[in-house]
Amino acid sequence: MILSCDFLAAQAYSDRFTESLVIRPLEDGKVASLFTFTTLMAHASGRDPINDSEDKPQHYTIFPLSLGQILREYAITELHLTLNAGKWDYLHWGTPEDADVGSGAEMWAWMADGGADSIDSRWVGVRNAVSGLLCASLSSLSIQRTTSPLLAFPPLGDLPVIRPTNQTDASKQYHLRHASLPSEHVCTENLTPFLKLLPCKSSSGLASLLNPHKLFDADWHGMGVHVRWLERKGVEVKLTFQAVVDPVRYSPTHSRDASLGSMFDRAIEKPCPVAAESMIQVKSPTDAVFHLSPDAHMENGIAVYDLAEAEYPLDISLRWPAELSFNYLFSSVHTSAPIRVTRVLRDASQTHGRLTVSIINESNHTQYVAYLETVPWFIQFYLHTLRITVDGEPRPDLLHRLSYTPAIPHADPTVFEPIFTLPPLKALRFTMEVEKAFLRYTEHPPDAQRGWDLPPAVVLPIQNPDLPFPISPYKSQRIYTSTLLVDLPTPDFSMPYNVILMTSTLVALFFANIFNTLTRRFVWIQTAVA
Amino acid sequence: MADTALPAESAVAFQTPSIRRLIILSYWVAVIIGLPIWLYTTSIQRLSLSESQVISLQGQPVDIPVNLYLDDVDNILANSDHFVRTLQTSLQSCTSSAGLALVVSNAQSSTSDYDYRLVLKAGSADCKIDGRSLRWEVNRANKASLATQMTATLCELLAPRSSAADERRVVQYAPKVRLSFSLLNEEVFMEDSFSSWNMESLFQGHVAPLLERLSPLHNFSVESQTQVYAPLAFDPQRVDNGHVISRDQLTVFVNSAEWTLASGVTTDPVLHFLLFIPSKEHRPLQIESSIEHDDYFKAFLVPQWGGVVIYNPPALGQPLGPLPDTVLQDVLSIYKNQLLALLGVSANCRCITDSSDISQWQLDALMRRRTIENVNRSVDALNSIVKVVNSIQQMPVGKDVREDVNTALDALAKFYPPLPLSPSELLAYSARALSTSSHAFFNPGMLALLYFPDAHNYAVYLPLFAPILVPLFVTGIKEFKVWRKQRKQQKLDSHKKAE
Repeated sequence: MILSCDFLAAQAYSDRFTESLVIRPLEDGKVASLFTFTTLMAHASGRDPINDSEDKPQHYTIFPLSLGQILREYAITELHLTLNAGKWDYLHWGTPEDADVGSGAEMWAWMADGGADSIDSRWVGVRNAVSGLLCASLSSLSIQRTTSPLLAFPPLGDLPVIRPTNQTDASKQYHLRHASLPSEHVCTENLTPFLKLLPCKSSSGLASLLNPHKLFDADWHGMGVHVRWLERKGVEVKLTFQAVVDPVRYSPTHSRDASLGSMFDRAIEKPCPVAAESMIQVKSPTDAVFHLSPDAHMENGIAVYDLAEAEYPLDISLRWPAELSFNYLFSSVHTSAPIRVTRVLRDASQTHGRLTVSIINESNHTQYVAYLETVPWFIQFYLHTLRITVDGEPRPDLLHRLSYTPAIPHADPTVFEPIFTLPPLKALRFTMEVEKAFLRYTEHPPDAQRGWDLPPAVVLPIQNPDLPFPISPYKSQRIYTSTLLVDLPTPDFSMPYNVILMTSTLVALFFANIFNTLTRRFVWIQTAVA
Repeated sequence: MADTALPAESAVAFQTPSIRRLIILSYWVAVIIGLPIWLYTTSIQRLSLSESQVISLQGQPVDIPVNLYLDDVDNILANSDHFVRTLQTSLQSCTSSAGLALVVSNAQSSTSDYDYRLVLKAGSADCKIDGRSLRWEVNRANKASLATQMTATLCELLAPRSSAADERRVVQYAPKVRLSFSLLNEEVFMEDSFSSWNMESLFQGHVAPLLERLSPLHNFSVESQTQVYAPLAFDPQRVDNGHVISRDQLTVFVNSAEWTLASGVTTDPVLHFLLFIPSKEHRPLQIESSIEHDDYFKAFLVPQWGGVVIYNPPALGQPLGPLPDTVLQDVLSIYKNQLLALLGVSANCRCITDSSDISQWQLDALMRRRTIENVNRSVDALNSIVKVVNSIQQMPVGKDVREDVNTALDALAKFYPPLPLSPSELLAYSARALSTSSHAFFNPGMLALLYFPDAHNYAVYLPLFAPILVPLFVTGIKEFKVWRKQRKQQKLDSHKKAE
């Protein structure tokens, strides 16, 4: 015990901040870039909700205090938040560097069970705190959007064993809460607080390239906050920013030449002094003669720049000298995504519809995938209408296993989690009838006519579909489908007043009739004598 | 003729005047019975608060009992009863204005732990504080003016006076206080900049004992952070050697937009303690009112917010690394004084104290002051609730509000008259009164129907009421007229008959 304490004291200041930028020219002439800022708080661990008090002193060096406070207050072991704008084009852009590219806001957390506060109250608290921290409107990620999927969101780090139990599996003491809000927009108000979580803010180093004017003009952009705990290392927070810019669109000659200056409107003026490691990697394309300046150190076909040794100002440029203007000839041969998914919701009427999903296996061997569909309660699945087909032939045998949590009206969403077997080079197609509920008057959003966004479905390739169910050791990359827009029956919102007026008029008419008949004085009238 | 065969109109069963009148009357009865039911079912829940009790508390002074026992160990005083009376009258003015009911008496055997003892001893005119007792050494030669000598010291100990400036500086009382320490580099350089500080271990040795001492007052939680890029929002004025912050600039020194100091998880008051290290261009950075060139530290206090220390490191060319521990020790001792000033701890008196930073007398005096403050604030809050509820007739008053008000009143009952409890117990009751009364005042349920006035209700229901009430009134009046006419006719007829 004494030994370990001494060890802790000696290591107290080994907190590490590293940053990296990966630039990858895409086949359609666009350039994908991924900024990763990683801060490791050495030998720290999340708060144990039972034994640790919230009042224990917290000392942070380069780890952001505002984030640390939230993690500590709500005893969060692992927290993930992504805010993305646009739809990632798997077909043309391949697999993203950072897998979490679902449109809109998505947030999930792993929390240890126990303590005075329940998991759900802590989830509400952390949701509100994070939305305050990043100026995002996550508070509408209410109970109607919150689920606990079994497979698709495994912990990325390790989970500390908080109580010695005879259960060997630590994940049983932990609970997952996941929610997504596809209609959330990402803009400058989210980037500004995001930059403040970095030790050098946007003053130096790679973060100085994060220029909101250029980034929010990109074809696709997204940011992420990922906190996890790594055994023997500590708490790690990874802040990511991913963007896909189109140099062809900016260039007057339609060339795909790009540079830091043209993509971000800035060059790197100076390195961040507290960064232990600061790297830029350029993944060179294979299809054409390609020139990089300044010269870089090459590692397995990846050009690497170390900011500690670079000359400033640093502006990296990518040029295709043989090419005058860029023409994109799409050939699906190049596509690097092994699985593609399309999802459609057809509206037969305002009350019924049909969900159609096709999962295409692009590889020439059998694959297994876990599919996750979480929809708010107002879309109700008719599970008995589930039809699985390949090339028009019914193939119910391809459904390996199914976990289904029906919705609770006005509260919990539906969770539909099947595991499918995908035959090689085939498209698996499944359809299901859905019913659209009639919402209460107060449940409609202010822009009711716009419709409701449904969160993207998630597909997770898995190796072994036969593992027992409530575990999730799958660490492969998630694939997101596009979001759906569903048109629910919307009432005329002046309706309550119309109803009151109509009813009042009817009651008044009825009353007047009866009252008149009862109290009228009838008299004999002389009529003409026949 | 046919009409001779017809009966009279009024002879038809349903047309007899009495039945028609009954019908009209029954409609009216229905309206009259329905009206109160309708009003009752659509009215707002307004539970009655213990109004008279709340109003009676307003303006009533709180007198916390304080007992001081005189223990004349060496029998210095000829007439100790007389001395006790003299001391009592001379201490009266300073203690009663601080809300204390002081009783000075001769030593008794049965005293509680929180009573004060004044021990007189023969010796060389010195005083020493030990817990709640004060040892006063008396030189036998000048014991005549002993009472006057003691009055000043005892006043300072029991009811330390605070100036208006002090009052504005001290934070409002809250049971939980968060202390946030931040190391801010205006800009970071590869040498003579500090990326971290050894706060975790030095804090334990230097500040933690003080917080432990203050723990009966507040429950502290501590956090620290370092920032390597914390720019100023203004340009300091350039002078011969270095830069100067003017008095006006001090008010905008804390750059809340760029320095991430705010906490997102708590509503407890936060006291910030900043260590600001100016960039190389701005070194040495001075404060206008106190320009001294040989001093590395400049410190100032932001009232009710926290303390700031500016540190101009000497140009030694040390590589970027942690702040030297000796520097941090000095900074922490400045922070300690700033913390005491912000929490309202009175200055030490001239007596020798036992080893700790704050004597029990100081702590008790502060607890009593906070108690009285809390009681007054709580009484004010309760009165405001009663006033608001009375002035806005549409404000709902729910069960939770009434419960909060009653809990606050129960806690306040401990002070009217004050029970002989220890200062920390009294403080706990006052804190409960304060938190529940402000909880009641800020109850969100009280705003619920404020924006749905009665006029709207009537407007919505007018299409129903107007077509129903008009015929009801018209037929009612008509029938009444007919009835009166008939009565007159009957009278006339009976007169005629009589004649």
